[in-house]
Amino acid sequence: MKKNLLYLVCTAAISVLLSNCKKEDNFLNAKPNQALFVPSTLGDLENILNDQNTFNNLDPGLGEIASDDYYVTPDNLNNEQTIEKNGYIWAKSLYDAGSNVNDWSGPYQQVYYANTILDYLSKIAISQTQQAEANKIKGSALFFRAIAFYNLVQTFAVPYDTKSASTDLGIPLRLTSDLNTKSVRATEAQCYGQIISDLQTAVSLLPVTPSVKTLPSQPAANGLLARVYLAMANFPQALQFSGAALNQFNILTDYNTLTPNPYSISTDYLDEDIFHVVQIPYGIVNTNYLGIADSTLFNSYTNNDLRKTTCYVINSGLPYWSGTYDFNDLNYTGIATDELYLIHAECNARAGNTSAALKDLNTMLVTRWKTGTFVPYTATSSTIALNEILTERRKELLFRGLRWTDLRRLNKETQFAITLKRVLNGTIYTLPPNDPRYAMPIPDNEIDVSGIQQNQR
Amino acid sequence: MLSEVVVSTGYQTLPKERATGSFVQVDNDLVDRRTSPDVLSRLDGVVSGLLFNRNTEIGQAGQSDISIRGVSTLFANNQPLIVVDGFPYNGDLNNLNPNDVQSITVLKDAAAASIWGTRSGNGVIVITTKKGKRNQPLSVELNANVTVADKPNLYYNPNFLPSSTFIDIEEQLYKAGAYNGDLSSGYRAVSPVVQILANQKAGLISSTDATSQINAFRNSDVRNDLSKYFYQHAANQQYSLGLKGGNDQSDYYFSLGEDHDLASQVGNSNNRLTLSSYYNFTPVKNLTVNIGYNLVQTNALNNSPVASIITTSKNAIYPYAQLVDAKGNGLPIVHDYSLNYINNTGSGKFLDWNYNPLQELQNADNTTRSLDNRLNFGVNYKFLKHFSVDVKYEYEYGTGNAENDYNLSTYYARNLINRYSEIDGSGNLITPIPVGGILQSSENTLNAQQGRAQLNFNDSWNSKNEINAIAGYEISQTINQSNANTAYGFDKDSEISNANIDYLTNYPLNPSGSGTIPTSLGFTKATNNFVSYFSNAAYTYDNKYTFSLSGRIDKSNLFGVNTNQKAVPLFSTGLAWSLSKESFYHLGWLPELKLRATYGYTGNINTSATAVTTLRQFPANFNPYPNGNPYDFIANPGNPELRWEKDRMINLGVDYGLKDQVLSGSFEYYFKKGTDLFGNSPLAPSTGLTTFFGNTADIKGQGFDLVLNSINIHTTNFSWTTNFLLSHALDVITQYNTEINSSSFIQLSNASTISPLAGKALYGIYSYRWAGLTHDTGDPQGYLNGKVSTDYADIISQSSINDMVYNGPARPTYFGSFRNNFAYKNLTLSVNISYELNYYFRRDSYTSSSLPWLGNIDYFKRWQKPGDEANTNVPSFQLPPYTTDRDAFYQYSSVLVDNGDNIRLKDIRLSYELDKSKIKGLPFSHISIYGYADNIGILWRANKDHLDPDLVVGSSLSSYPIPRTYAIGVKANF
Repeated sequence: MKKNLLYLVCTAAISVLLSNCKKEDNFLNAKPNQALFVPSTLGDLENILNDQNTFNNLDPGLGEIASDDYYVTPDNLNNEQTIEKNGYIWAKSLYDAGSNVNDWSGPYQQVYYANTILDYLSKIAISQTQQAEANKIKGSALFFRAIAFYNLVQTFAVPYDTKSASTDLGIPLRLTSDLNTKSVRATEAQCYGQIISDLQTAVSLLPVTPSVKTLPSQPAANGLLARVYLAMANFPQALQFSGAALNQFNILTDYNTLTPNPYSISTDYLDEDIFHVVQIPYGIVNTNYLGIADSTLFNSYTNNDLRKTTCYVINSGLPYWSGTYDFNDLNYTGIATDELYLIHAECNARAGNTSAALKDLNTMLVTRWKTGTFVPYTATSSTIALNEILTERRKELLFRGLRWTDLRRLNKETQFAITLKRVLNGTIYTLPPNDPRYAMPIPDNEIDVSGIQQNQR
Repeated sequence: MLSEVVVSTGYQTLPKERATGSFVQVDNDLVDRRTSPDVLSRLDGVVSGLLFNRNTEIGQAGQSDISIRGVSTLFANNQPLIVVDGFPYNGDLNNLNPNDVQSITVLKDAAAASIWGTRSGNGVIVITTKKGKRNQPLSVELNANVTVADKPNLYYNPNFLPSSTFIDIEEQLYKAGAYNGDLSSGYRAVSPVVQILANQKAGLISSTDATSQINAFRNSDVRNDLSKYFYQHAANQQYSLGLKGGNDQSDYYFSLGEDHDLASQVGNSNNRLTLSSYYNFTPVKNLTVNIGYNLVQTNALNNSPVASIITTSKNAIYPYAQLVDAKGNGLPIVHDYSLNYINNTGSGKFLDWNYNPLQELQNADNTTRSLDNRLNFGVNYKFLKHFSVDVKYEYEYGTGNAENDYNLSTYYARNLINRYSEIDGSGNLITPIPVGGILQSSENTLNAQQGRAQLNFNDSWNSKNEINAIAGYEISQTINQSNANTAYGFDKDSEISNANIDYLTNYPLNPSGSGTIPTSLGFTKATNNFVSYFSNAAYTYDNKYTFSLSGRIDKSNLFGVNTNQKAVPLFSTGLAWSLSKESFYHLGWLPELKLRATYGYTGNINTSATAVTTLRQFPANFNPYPNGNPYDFIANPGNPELRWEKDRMINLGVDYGLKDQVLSGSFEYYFKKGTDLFGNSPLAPSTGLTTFFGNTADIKGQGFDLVLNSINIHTTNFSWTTNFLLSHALDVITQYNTEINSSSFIQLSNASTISPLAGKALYGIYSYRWAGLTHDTGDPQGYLNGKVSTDYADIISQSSINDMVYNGPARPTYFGSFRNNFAYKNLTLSVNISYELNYYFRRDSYTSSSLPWLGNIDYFKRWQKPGDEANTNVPSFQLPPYTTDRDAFYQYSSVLVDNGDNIRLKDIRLSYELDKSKIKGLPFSHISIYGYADNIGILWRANKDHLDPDLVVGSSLSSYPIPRTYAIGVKANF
């Protein structure tokens, strides 16, 4: 009797439990946090691309800090971060010991996000009607990965040199979101090769017109290819891709139509903005803050040149740059038509096509002058034209993240090589052409964990 | 004495005599020994192995930070599970009224705690509330007490520099040009002295005027105003009324409690109302049904502005600030911006931009309210002589509501409105934020359900065998939801706000920058689901041998882990042998002797880790640029290897009782081993992440708990008893996959932060090796590659793990208490002395770059001339440009690490008891009148600087030693 009842109770209990198993599974699949979910649809991946805080806000600023378009007073410099103080004088070491450096980790965060998108994209079954959307997602992810690699190479690897590219150290090329993959520095040739192939694939997948300017497009990918080839001093290719980009998008903003404010020249995207991205903010190079514009550079603008009044603010008699295209008042480093014309012009000049080069230059510059006052540039030789173009390039593309790469590449040409100089509290600091300090040190937290090779400085 | 004690695991009660595991029972007298508004602090100093950490961030914030037998986790929850009447308690622990508590059992080892599975890793505290009894007439208990605290001692803080010294430093720094950047910015806050110096330089005032104005500040001490107008004697009033009784069919308990709590900060207070009821009846034979309902309502004001007037940045309060004038009116002080800036911006059309702390206190209206409902239902049915089944259900619903109503007279509202205001071309004032009040509100709700079905079996036969077994199934769901919002243009009287706010436009801000109008709009929801199967069985033979076995499987909705991985059985087993009951046992002086040994596992979880890559969606307007779509952020990288943390514990114990209980107690030694602990391993940033969170760490620990209870004197009229507790607990990292660099260990290590290093304590203090001061300049010296060096940058960046000094653990590793109780007739006196030993803390000193805002009295002991280095270790003062590495080296050098050992006179309680059984004609059956003093003082400390080692001083003024409190109360039973 006792035994039977015990048996009865036990079987009853077990059957109740078993019938509950299905319910139990559902119960245990409840989301612990309502705000979290697993990427499973194309829409989820597309929404990752919309994360502007990751993809459009993390361009490195170290090169800008080390560039020569500005200077700061010792008092102001003293109040800023270590990385700015050291970067400004091209010190051998730049960072607070062990600190994380956004200039390095930021672009790699972009790479991780892009790789996550690419990895999940390959796991999602895509119907025919979704193919266009899937293409756009893949193209965008490849573009974002390429621009991050490009920015890293410009900041943390030595300038590209065809002769040594296959042995010079580039940066780790991370092509998977798997965190267990070890980071190893690829060669410069591998790095530029990866960037170019990613971008070429992206061009074939991206739409010509993006839904918002913070997302990539075909002209943006072509424009970036032109920028990359220019950094490699591969002028025919830079000419080809800047031309391809201009064929798709050649709108220029007439500066006569601008209503600038003290921190930016616009309160919305500029018409000529193709792809919008900004630099990590650093006080000494922030728009109209601590950096005082180089006086020779400022004085080189003529009075009818609208940039002199539009892109600068005079505080206590000193010029401060305020010409960013970014209406959140950060340094715009995106791709815009003016840069494409300047690349196209430079490559034309280098190819000996003086008239085509001048046409490019004048097309762009006329939109910068007071209406009716612009006198087109002329040149009797392509060399003169090239000099004019490079001068105008510097006057147009300040604080756009481009000057540092220009210094790096032009230093390879003796006639353009310059030694940078800063004077601070009576001490003179210099950065001669092709100095190893043109590659920034890799942050300690990377070296400590992955053990990759540090740059010699 | 041993046999009288019954312990509770939350699932069953068992006589302590037959327990194999490590239980500590705190009976009602001990619960009531201290006076406090909360329950947990009643355990302070009376439970072996249980330590209240005061030198941690949580402890400093005034909340209880408890560790039971050390710490068993690195980064998962490290607080014990609190169980109230059988179910884990989800609400705010401060809601429990201690007057409703009958007893508390603390479960310390695996055999005791593992029945709670993956939530038991930090130990379990089981609270049993008061109930009625069958066949007992109505009894009424009335309790009233008042606790008054000393005013906080603002003068203790060694980081405060007197005004005159502060001003001297400001003058030197001004001469050195340290304020040029601030002054030329046109808006950054500078102190009045710096402003006077600047005005003098600009020729606005004469040098004699400047000097006399500055000298007028020299004798001011802001602490006087702060102490007088912003701090008060904290006072707590506690009243409770309890009724209980029962007949042969039912019993009941009902209580009401009311607490009024005035905090040390003027403007902060808390009121609590509690209601508790319980009814138990037998409708038919063998069936009992119980229902219970608890209600807690709290109402708090948080109006003190001291947190915002006391900060370390340059907006900090200067020691010569005058907060109140001779007539008692509040005075404005320099706060976020310079006075020149706030007085000259906005063409006179902006709102008053002054910051006036006393007015802030008067105008503040910040409230928090909460309401917590708990409903219990239980059925017990006995059948077949040996069986019974329990079904229990609890539903808890709580809401909390915080409202900060910043009316237009508050600085918060005026400052925010001004920052967004603009004078347009035609001189008109434009205010994107409407000129009116600002209401920040947030609300959270708790919705918890827990249910349990349990089968109990008890049988004994041949008068020698006894079996107690339980098995059951448990299901629980806890949902926490919250939302927050900000209303602009809010008017409290009409409850009207302005809905026309443009949250998208990026406005230029005064004095610099730009931004959108802030909004706190947001919603969260967190769900925790558990399904568990548990069983526990104990077999006792001949009252001498007990064998116990316990097991539990937990499953939870821990994100994405498949069910198999979720189900980790955690088990424990134990043996107890009452040696003194053996026939061969003849030690007459030691009539009670019992040996115990247990082995088993407890677990822990961290719900923030996920097995798969998870995204979190943000609304479109969280993006910096216009984009119609929401965006996803990768909240967590995937980790398919996710597991529970497992803690293995071996416990060996002996319970003893000498003849007549002259001496009794226990001694237990335990070994712990934690595996699969969650650890934050650094990742190479090139992976895209800088850290990774997973089951990567292992720890081990050991320790002991010694309890000595003695009856020293026992006569008819007088008795003297002593309770001595000594515990040792030390946990050490055995595996941690990655090492951070030495400077990170050194600079991050404290009692709240785990910087794991294999072979070292979980919480350790590390430092740079100290080599004294230089003779010529008084610069601090360290070691670089074994040689004395002043190359601070290299010392910091190049010191290896082996070069740094490990001073020792940051939390006490030996601790306990020594409680003496004296009773003379109706009078009892109890004095508790507590001690914490073998741990270290980093004391503050001064660094040049923080001066003068964050100073330290060490400044007066600094090196000033060659030769001083023989008498002092405090480096010389430096003018800017500072070598911040020099400061960092000194601040984290071994010379600033002190031994934390201390002995405190914890508390004294004196009570007078009258009982009707002894004195006829009393209107009460029993009355107890008591006085209690807490936090009386430090009797001895190892450090020579007269510092309270458990007080993390931090920024100047904001910290003070826990004030001493005095209470008087009466407890009457009718």
